[in-house]
Amino acid sequence: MKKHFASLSFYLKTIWESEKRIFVIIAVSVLLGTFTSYVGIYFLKFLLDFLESGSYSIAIVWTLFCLAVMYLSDNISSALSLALSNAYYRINTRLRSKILNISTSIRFEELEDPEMLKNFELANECLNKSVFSNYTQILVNTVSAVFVISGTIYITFEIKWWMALLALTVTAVNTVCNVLLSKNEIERFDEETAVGKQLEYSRFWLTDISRAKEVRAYSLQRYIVGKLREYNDKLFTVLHSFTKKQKNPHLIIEIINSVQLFVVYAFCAYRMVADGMSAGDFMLYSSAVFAFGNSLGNVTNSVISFWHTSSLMTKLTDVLNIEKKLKEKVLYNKELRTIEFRNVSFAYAGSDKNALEDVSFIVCANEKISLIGENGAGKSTLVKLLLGLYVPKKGAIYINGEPMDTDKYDYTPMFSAVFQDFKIFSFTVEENIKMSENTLTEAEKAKIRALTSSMGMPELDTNSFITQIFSDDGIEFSGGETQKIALIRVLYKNSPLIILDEPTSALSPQSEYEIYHNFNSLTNGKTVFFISHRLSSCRICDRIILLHNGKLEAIGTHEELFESNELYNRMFSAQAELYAE
Amino acid sequence: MAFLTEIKKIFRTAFDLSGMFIKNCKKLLLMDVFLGVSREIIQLIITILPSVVIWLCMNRSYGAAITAIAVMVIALTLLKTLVEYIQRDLSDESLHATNSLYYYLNGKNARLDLSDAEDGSMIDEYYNVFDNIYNFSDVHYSIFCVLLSKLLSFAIMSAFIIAVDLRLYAIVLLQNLIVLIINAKKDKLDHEFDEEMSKNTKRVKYLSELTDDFEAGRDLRIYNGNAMVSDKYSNELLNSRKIEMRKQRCDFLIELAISLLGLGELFLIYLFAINKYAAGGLLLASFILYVSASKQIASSISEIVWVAGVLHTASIYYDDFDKYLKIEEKMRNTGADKPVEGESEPFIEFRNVSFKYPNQTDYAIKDFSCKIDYGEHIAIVGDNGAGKSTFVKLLLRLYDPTDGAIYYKGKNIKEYDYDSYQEIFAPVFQDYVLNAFSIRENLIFDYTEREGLIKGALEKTGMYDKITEIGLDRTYSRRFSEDGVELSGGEEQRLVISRAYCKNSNVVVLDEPTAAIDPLSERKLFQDVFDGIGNTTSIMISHRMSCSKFSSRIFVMERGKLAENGTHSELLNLGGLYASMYRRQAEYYS
Repeated sequence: MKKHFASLSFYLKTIWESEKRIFVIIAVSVLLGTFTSYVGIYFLKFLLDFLESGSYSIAIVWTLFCLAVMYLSDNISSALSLALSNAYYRINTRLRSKILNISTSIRFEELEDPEMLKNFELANECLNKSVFSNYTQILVNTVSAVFVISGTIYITFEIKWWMALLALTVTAVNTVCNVLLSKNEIERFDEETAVGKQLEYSRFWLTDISRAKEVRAYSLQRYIVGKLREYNDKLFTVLHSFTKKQKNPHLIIEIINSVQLFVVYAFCAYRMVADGMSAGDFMLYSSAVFAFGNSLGNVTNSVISFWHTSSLMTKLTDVLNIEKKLKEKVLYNKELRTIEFRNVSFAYAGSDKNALEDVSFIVCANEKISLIGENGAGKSTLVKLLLGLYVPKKGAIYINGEPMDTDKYDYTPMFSAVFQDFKIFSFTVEENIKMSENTLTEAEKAKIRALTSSMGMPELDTNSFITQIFSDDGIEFSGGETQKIALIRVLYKNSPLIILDEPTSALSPQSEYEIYHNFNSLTNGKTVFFISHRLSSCRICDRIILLHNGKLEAIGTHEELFESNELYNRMFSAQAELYAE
Repeated sequence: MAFLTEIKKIFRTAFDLSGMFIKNCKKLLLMDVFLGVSREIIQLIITILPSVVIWLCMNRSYGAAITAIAVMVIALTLLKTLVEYIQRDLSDESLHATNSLYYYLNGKNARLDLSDAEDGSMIDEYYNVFDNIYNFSDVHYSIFCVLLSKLLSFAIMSAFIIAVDLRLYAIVLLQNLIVLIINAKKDKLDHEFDEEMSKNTKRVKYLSELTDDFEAGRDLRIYNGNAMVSDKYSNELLNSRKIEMRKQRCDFLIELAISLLGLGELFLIYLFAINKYAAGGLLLASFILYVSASKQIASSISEIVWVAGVLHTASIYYDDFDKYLKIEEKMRNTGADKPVEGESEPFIEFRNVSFKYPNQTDYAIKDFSCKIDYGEHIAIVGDNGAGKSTFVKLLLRLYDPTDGAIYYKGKNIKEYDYDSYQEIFAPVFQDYVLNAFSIRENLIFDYTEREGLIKGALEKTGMYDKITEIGLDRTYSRRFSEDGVELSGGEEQRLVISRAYCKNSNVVVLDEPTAAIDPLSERKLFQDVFDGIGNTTSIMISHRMSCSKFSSRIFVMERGKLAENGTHSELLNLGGLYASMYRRQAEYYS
């Protein structure tokens, strides 16, 4: 209960802070809605009365008046809803970009937590389903309904006191059915999203351009259509099972409404015959009773959807609350002297096997470390821990002798990295290098130019877009060129520690050779972790950390390890022999 | 004339799409018709009920009034319940049928020539159709449910109005014709807005997908790029809103005009009715009936206008859809021969092949000739952009040469049936992708007959133990299921190589397959590929010169040409490009 009202107050607060006009729009809408429903109720009654009494010109004026009022209120309310949707769009945009910001700011580990992922999904879902305007709709409906009830209750009692009782009973039954239906609707929606996502994946990704070559070379045309069919059928089965369950409540709603319809008309007919009620009153009374019943229904439905919307809204507030936690972090901007792993162990969520087990070592500033090991030995895990993307399960990492505290400090100024699967964004070259939207100063441009030429790349127009998503004359770079841009980015950041994970995998032997050759000048004054399966990289580094099955197998210089470590010797020789002439 | 072609287009759209929908669900149209007619009857009952009751009561026949109410209310209950049931079933069926249209579209996309599938404007066209298929979902419903029943109700209600005044009827028709024309114009306008929107949508989509992109999330964290991305996101969202608003404002003004016309019409209807009543030509009860009938006719016409709008919009997109389905599959239409089994000489031959990518001025491959014999193990080396990957694309007939020809067993490869020719090769591409389905499907797709080859293929890449532990039925990636399995880069690469082995083809083609594989596994892989399991021929592209040690012959490519060709020791003795590249890498191993 408290949660629901917290959502309501969040809604009100958000509107109050950013779009006050929404309150005005709501007020006008309510007045307009109430007024129109009364016009609707009385229009026919007075028209018929005027006709029966023979005052035709008044009947015409009355008709014109009512029609004009309805016309105006219709159009005014659609103009209002346009303004409203505009205001909500602005709110939504602000919140969406906030959520994107949060999801790219929280610790990586948290993002892999299925619970957290689900929360983000639901928060976005909230905005997609426009919870804000749902709230407004609920508010408008409830208030208008109360106005209508207070007006029609008098008429309803005037016919007969038990008419009101009847309307109440009907509403109660409808409400029960609607609760059942809305529960069904929520479950149905959850299932639909789950299967729908798979269908969308098959539909969207299997024919993505990245798969085009495989699709042809492996003759996957039948497979693609088969996958679509599989998930489409599955979606249908799921939806249909819910549809079947909806049938009974609907039957009950229809029956109870028909009973009401019968009683109201039969009683009005009786009054017409027995008491000589006029045709106008017949129309007035019957429509007033129906309006009374409908409004009662609106109130209860609003309560149901208030419940539903509020619980959706709490997901949104949950995610937005994360932001407060994020802001408290202090940038860690000190000089780097040492990095130490002390008995570090780590296991991924959902796995009982340690990806890293009891790893300890110390690295000093300016050391160039080659981090090697077989596939699955734990190299990437070690790097992720070092970057604070994950937190060790046991042991700790010490920076300059102090334990790393990712809750207190933001360590990003310390690190930069090129990963195996680095991401180059479809923005401009300079945005990809600088990773912010501010335009470059002359000094920064010069710095990029220097880096570009040291990579052996022709001079780049840093304002040109990469790929054509944001500009029609965007450029497509080859794999090697993109990797070079990623390398420029890592060096541009000029952080004391850099991590290079297979940074030359897409480069030709010539380019690789050049980078190896210039390695020391490029990384001058920086601590480097170099990960590569090309063990030639060990020769340009000061020391080697060899991991094996998540454990530290050996640490030392190439010469030391080549002499003393059997595994290293075997690995290095496997490649070196092939280069012996 | 233009109008006639429009009409013809609409008819064709309606006909073709109805056909596709019936194919998916035979009952669909029947349900439509039933739904439409029942709703009309319900409306009719609701319309006449009060006036019949009033009329009977004014005549003091209370018993008849009660009977009338009872009969009509029971009929209403029955019909309404049926309508509730059927419309829900219908919406499920309709969704299923609409989704089934993607079978045609995606199937076609998968069959297009690669040069078409990779063409920028063709990709845009594909996504344009892709995003607009939902416009077809209402076509069957609009015709068989709405149009049919509204024409029916239009006829019934027209009878009522004509009974009052023929002139009035003419006015009503004229007013609605004007509305129809305005709406047709509006549709055209909307379509223009859509085109402007689609560019923006592409950007918004790209940015919003960064939320679940792990690589992006990680790089954004490290480089503090999140502020930039969220700013861009809100800018793009606001931009798309601006376009949307222009459209909505335009729509609003049109609606204002249309509803003003409606107001005039309604007023006239009342005016005539009051006049008629005053002149004594109408009972009070019929007055009520008449007034609601007039409202009905207006609403049934506006529904018909809606149908016209749906059909018109659908016909515009159906045109795109149809055009896309009819794109010629040129490569699939050049020949139908099946490759002959067994060894044969010469095996593969490139004769003066030149190739330029579409819209490019430079040749990626220029006057390239070579022969590959059965059972040979070829290593292809060369700088970035030397044409190595292009060579593979030509060999696999993903592209056809601009000049010259490629021969397989003495026959131009264009003479073979496209899919049969593909059976000869098992390629591993540099930019491989795994799908978020089971590991088994990632290995053999739906070719269940390859099931028996899985074990051997996994053993060859050293993945057997790992995959046995994981289980073949486990889903790759945690995208959809929490117990999905994430693999490391090297494991993924080895899985993809296993996929190629499962294909059991004569020629294995590997494009830079070991970038993420550790030294010991890499060495084993080179040996396995080149030691020739069975009698397979293999072709491997690699930046690692070491792989060439195991090959029987090396192609050195330079700027689209075959610069050197020979065995490892021959080329080292030659002292050319190969020797210098080899020594560069060797330097760090000595």
